[in-house]
Amino acid sequence: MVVIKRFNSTVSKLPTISSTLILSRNPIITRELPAFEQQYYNYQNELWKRLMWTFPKWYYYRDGTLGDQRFKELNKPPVFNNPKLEYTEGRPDIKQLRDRRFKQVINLPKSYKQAEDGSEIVDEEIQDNLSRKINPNSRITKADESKDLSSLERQLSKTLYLIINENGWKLPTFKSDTQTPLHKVAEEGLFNIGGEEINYFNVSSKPCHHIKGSDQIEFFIKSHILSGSFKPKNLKFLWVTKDELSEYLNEDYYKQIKHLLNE
Amino acid sequence: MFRGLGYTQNAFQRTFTRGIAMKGDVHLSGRRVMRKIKLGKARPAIFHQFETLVELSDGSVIKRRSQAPKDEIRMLNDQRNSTLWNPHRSDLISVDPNAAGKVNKFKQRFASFDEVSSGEQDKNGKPSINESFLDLLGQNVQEVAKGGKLFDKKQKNKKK
Repeated sequence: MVVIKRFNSTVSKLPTISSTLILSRNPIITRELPAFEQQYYNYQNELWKRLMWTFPKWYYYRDGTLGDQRFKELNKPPVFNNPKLEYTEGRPDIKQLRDRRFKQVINLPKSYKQAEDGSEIVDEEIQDNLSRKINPNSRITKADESKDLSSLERQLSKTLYLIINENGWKLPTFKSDTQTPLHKVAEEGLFNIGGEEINYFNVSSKPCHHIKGSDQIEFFIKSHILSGSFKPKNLKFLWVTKDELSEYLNEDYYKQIKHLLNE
Repeated sequence: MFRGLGYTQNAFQRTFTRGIAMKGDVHLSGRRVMRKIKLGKARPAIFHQFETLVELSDGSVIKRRSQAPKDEIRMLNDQRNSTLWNPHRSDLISVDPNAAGKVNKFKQRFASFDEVSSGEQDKNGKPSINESFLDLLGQNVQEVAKGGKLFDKKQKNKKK
């Protein structure tokens, strides 16, 4: 059976079309792992280390070079397998200066001076920045500590979404004339309110979702901010996570777009 | 009996000689003969890898695995301070890391000659196609004359 839908000729007014931008900042670091997952990955990592082949020392450190000397100072050869001796803890199985019963642990020469426990000795006379120890940064940034919601450097392990305050918090929405494509409307609108110092990646020129009202249709355009920053004049804006977004947006509206958002 | 034995020896030799590889054939040692790998005896090929901390130029640190014996790598030039990836940052000056090298010094000194010495040119000012192909071959290349007789070893032998 063919259903022919006839538009009512009395409705002459076309719905207004608007394009809403879902501008997200993707996570910069990996998420916090639960204890169980942490244990699982530790176990797999240790298995991996046990199965690894012997380090080809002869390839990376030529015999008789300074590097070889430094390597030998840090890595003493294992106990020699003497056939005339009995070993209480099992006979060593030695190939290529490695006891194959265990995983191979290698100490590498460092570019900085070391104390005996392996920590760095900071020599204040020599301010050689390039040879200092590399310390991973904290996962919690200054913006997290000061609870600065408008900073792009907060909640590094989560996706952030841009919301602006125009008579209440909402995603940036721009009205479309019927000529320009939706993603262009979103781009121009974003540059108009936030300046052109945003390097962004538009996922698609096609909208990912739409919400139909009585006299308007709202299309959603997805894009990611890659570098630069959103610097508007006289406009309040926030970068919030998905969980925080539910507090700022209208409840029904949030329910309709919830599936578009990442944690 | 003896004759028979001789015959079998011969046959053995024949089969053996058949097994001898042709000239230029690859010999593998007998130990590398394909064997069936029993269940649970297979071991994955995992090279020895170190856990390396890589510090990018903006100070962010990445942990990765690497076969090279380095557990800390500090990058001077990377995507974080490249003008290509950061078009909106005005504080970056694209520094050529080879600026101090011999070739660059030469170019700085003699760059003006490069414009003058552009060779054969078309009417439009572009170098002709022939010229550009010759450039690919290297310096002092002479074009092979069309239609000329080339030296042929076979013909020379036949005449004898």
